[in-house]
Amino acid sequence: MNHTDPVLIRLSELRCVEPRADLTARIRAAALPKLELRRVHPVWSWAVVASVMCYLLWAVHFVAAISS
Amino acid sequence: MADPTDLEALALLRRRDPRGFELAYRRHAASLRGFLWRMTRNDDLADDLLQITFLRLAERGPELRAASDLPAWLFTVARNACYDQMRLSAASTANDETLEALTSPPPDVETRLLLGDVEHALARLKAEDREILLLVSLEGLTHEAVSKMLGLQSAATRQRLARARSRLLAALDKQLKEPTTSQQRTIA
Repeated sequence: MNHTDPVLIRLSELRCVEPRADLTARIRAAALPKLELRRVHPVWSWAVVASVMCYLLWAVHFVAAISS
Repeated sequence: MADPTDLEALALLRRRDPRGFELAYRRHAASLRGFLWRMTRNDDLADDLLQITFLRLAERGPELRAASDLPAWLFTVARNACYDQMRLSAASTANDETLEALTSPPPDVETRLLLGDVEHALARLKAEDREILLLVSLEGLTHEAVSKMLGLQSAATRQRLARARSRLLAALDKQLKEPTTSQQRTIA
């Protein structure tokens, strides 16, 4: 912010201490894994595909049964 | 206008590149830690809240818009975490005075020696006054961002700022008039 007010200038001069090295290391260690994309286990992908296929087969079978 | 470093950090974060996180941390960790410490006056609590803020950045950073105001976003998260913590502490006693004591503990002689005049006067203010003074005096936060953060109209922000400013000046004035405990000892 652009300050002309002496009170705000004085406040902006308040000391900001860098976080301690151990805190920084702790934060990095906890945060960086969260940035990585969580890959879905292939079993779940196959389970979804299989359930969709089962439903479609059942639907085809059902339509064939009522039309015959 | 957003700072180019913040825009770069955002662009990297959106690609889940850890350098974006590093950039944001290096640029804002100290000022966020300063803000959180001045709001809580508690080293451990300020550290925990800083950790919460940056973990949220790691989780939500990739979803932020490319033109987001990164410092405003970080300070909003830090402020919310801070108030959540205050509410949690106050809920156990359901006493406003306790909340006030948490946010503005009476500075003892040691604190008085460690803190500067402004710092000391700031510690005496209510949380909402201290908050607005710290936010508007921080580099990188626009008036609009502070208004949005506090959920206020621009005019109301200016009004609250003016009120907080005059309370700070009054606290400084009072501080200059009243003798410190060590001075009182000398006089006695």
